[in-house]
Amino acid sequence: MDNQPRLSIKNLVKRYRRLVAVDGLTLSIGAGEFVGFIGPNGAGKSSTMGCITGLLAPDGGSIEVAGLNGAENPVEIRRHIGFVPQELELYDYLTGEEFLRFVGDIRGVSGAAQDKQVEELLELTELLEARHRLVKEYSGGMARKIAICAALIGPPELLLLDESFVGLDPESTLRIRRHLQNYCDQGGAILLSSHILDMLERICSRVVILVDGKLKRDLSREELDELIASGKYPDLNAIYLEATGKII
Amino acid sequence: MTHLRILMGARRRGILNRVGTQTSLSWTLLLALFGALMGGLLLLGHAAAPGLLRPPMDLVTAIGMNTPGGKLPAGAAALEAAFWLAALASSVLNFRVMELLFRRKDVRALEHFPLQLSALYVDRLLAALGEALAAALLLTPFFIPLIWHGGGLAAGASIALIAVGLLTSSAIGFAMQLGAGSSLAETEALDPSIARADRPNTASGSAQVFLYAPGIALAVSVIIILMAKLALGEVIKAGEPTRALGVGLGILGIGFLVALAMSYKYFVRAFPRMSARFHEVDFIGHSVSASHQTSDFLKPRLGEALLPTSARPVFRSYALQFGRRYMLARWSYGLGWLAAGIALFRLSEAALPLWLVVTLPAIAAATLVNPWTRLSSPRIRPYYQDLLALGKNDDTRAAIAFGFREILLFAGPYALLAAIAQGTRSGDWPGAAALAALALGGCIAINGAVALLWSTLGRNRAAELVAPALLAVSMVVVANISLLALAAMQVLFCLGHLKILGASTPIPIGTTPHSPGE
Repeated sequence: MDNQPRLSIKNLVKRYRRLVAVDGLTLSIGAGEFVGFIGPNGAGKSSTMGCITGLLAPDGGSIEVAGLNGAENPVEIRRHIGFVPQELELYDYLTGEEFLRFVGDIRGVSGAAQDKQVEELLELTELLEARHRLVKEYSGGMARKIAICAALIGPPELLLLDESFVGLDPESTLRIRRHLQNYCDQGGAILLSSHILDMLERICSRVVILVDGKLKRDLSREELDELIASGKYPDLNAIYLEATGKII
Repeated sequence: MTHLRILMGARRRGILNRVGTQTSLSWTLLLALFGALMGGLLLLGHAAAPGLLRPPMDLVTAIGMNTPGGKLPAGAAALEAAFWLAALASSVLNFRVMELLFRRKDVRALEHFPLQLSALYVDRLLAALGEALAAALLLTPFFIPLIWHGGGLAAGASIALIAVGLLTSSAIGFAMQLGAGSSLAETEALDPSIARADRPNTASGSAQVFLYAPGIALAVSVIIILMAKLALGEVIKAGEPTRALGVGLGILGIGFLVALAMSYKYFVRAFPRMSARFHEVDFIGHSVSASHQTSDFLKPRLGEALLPTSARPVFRSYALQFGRRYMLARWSYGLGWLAAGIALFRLSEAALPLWLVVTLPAIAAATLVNPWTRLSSPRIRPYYQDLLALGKNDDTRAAIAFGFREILLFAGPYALLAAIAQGTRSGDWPGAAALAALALGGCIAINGAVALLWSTLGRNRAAELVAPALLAVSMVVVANISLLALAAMQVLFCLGHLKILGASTPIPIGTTPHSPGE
């Protein structure tokens, strides 16, 4: 694993009219890190991910992915990013397999390597039987699975997953979680936005809490374990509630 | 394999898959509709051919068409009609370019992949030129009957004007939209400490370039089409290809290539950033957490009093969502009124005949505005009708009432302009008022037709797209025959509102909200 951060955000600002969605966020993610990105609705998680991928234009600050500046290389950085947005936009009239092969070709994965990855990913997401069906005909959960497969093809160095486990059955969630952990073990980095805090507590090597667009807490695995072991917080839920000021 | 080949391969596969999923019934319906449209245009062209081939006396855009004898050549009126049709189609295509570049799902689905911008540019350009060519082919049957009326040259010149004009217009629209967008797409991240006034304003102000660009592109396109018309007019006058034609085609070709070169430069330099800015302008109304957008539901909305109490909340949700989602589209109504005002006050009756004055808003309502498809989109029409304890027809009633209101908002000012223009010109104010009523009535009749459609088929995207367009074409045909017949036709379709507003049995819900981005 190299030492270069997979993602480096400095002083990111994103506004929508008067609303400041992301307010001076600074965050760095290294190789092998599985970062849980949590915060209340409207905290700025999706806006941050949108800015990283270039789907939203930042109003301030800088973003680097694998050493590439996002403002200067908006297309090039996408080579290094696999993104599953909250609201899926897929190529409706390709079959699941055709869509994956299309993404593989775009990412420069071809021939036997492509065949192998497509098979593995379809098997991982249990879409082998639905591989020849049009994406348009997929259920919500199947569409999300094929989007996850598309994000994993390559694989890119950084994965951005915005509420990507919503609508997935428990079996698939478990299989994909394991795959993602393997991906991180091999040097990939993940920024996963989710409200399933129990899952994040188990799988993440780091947890970042965003409130009103600002970084409220940034806890490593060790810090998280220490806080829970100290007895002050029973779990990540309690830490989250305290950070957001919503103790119930 | 290059990205262009990959993308073209995926597009081809997508088209084949799409074709393969159609049932024989949908093919039959599609072919029947296509046949009806083509047949209708051929019939209309056949009826109009003698007039189009008669030497015209008064054409406002006929500068340079005069022969030494002082008479305009036969076929000049056909070319004039082709000019106006090309200008009308160009206005649609210039806004379509915006959709093709930023809004359509086939481009949004590719946005986060590392696709080379040159490949995406070719893909989008082919889509735009393909639409221009399709529009030209669709208008062609109107001029084909000129051939069997002895006006082969006029037919050829008119068809050439439409084809060349629309292709050039699309290229210009491309260049204008991308040039405008690139002005908002700064290449370096900004320092947040810079004063707010010094930053690109993505919500209004400078962001409105996205809206103005199609208007400017239309103005440039119309000038270019006019030049092409002058060059082709020389051919009609001389009866054979002339040097002027060569010069005209040369200018068009150069304009086309310059537009392509400029648009390519803007596209590869800044497309991702301008696309991001566009979506912020376009979807700014989505965040319900924004404080300035909350607490607006209790305010009564204009037009809801027409509905039973149970349907009013649905009407309000349509009003709020439509206004926020299509804010940009509504601003474009103003451009339409401006263009219509210029045409109504400046053009003579020969150039803008009464049948066109009364049917123009219906044509625009059926094509450019079409609120019915938008009301059925998932962004506007959520699934609540299945989830909440709404009255059986409240959703459809509210949608049709809102469609009525939106159409009035769009066509009302036009009707007023038409009445003033006609009244001041002729002094016949009752006649002018009747003309305005016909202009407005055409749009309301389409809303009534959609009400009939919804009450029988339910919400259906294909029908919402095709039926208004077919009805608008029918109204053009009838208006050519008799304005009284048009009035009768409008009254008949306006009665369609009663079918929904007075329905006591459940109206079919139809398809669930249409697929996003379709």
